[in-house]
Amino acid sequence: MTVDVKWEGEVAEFYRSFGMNQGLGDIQYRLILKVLSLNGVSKATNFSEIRKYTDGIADRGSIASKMKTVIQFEGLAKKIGRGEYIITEKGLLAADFIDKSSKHYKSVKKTLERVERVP
Amino acid sequence: MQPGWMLHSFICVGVATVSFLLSFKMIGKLKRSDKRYLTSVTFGFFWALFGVSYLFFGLSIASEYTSDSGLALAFFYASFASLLMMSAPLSYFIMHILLGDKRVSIATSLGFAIIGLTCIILLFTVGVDMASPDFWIPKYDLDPLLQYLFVFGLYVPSLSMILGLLPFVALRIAPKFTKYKITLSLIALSLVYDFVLLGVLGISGLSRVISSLFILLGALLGYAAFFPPKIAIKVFKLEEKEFEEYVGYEGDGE
Repeated sequence: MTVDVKWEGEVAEFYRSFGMNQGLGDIQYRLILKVLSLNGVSKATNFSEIRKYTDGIADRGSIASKMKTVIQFEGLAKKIGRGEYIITEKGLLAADFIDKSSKHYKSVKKTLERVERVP
Repeated sequence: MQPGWMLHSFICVGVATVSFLLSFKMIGKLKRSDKRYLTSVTFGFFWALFGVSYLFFGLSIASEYTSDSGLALAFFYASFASLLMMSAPLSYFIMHILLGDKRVSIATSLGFAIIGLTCIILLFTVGVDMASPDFWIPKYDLDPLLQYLFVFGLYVPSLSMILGLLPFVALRIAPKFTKYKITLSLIALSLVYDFVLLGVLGISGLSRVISSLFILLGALLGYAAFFPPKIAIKVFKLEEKEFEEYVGYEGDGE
């Protein structure tokens, strides 16, 4: 499984348009949690793995800052070594919420497209 | 010759008139450049075929009334052939709204056209029998195989597709007018298909005239769905209100 950066960007843009600039509408937050959740609670995630997806949208400093000030600070992931992170149970809940927000966006998008096709 | 036949014939012509009116308005409703153009046109074609079918059916009854059985039979064939083809444009209309994929919509439409053509070939091969006429209708009996093909090849799939539009009714995010259009179209199409089915299965007597009246109601509801009368706009509050943005002092109004 991989993370679709373009899709996550589209979903984040959708929630940002509601004024949700943090969390659901924050592409960095979405991507970090998605990558961390791919490895689960038993396997560490390297910072380089996260950067593989975030390099196109943000610099290293912003991602490191987001890791520290939001992800680690809120207990969504733990730093277990140099450049090594592991997602917590709380982080998995947040990642699950991110997934649900993608599904919600998909369903809204589909519905709005259907509505537009009614003559 | 029975006096009730002419009344039934008038009802059929009424159904045809409403269907043609709706059809012409649907076809001319949108510009070619509009991406909903084909959906609108196919829905128009559906009502046009339905109108043709009921026009010929009315003429068939009227011909029987004037004791011209040969002409009546010819009109009946034309009427039923048209009826067998009407699911093809309808399937495009529904599939395109639901999936938005032109290829799938065209393929479904072609599928229905093939089933319709098969039924038409069967109709001309096996023919129809003149059953005992009653006060309201000079009844024709269709071959059981043709009835089965109509029910399972056209009616059941078409009704399933129509029901596919049902979730629209409960949508919160759809505009009120869209919901109104879909809901009324659903009722109209269900009335039309259900009572046409009763006719195909061979009900007769007063029930047949009542079923034709319900078909007329279906056609009228179909028209009202896309071209709502003023009363419907008022009752269902279909007109969207435009509110001006307030630019004054932000306070509690006191």
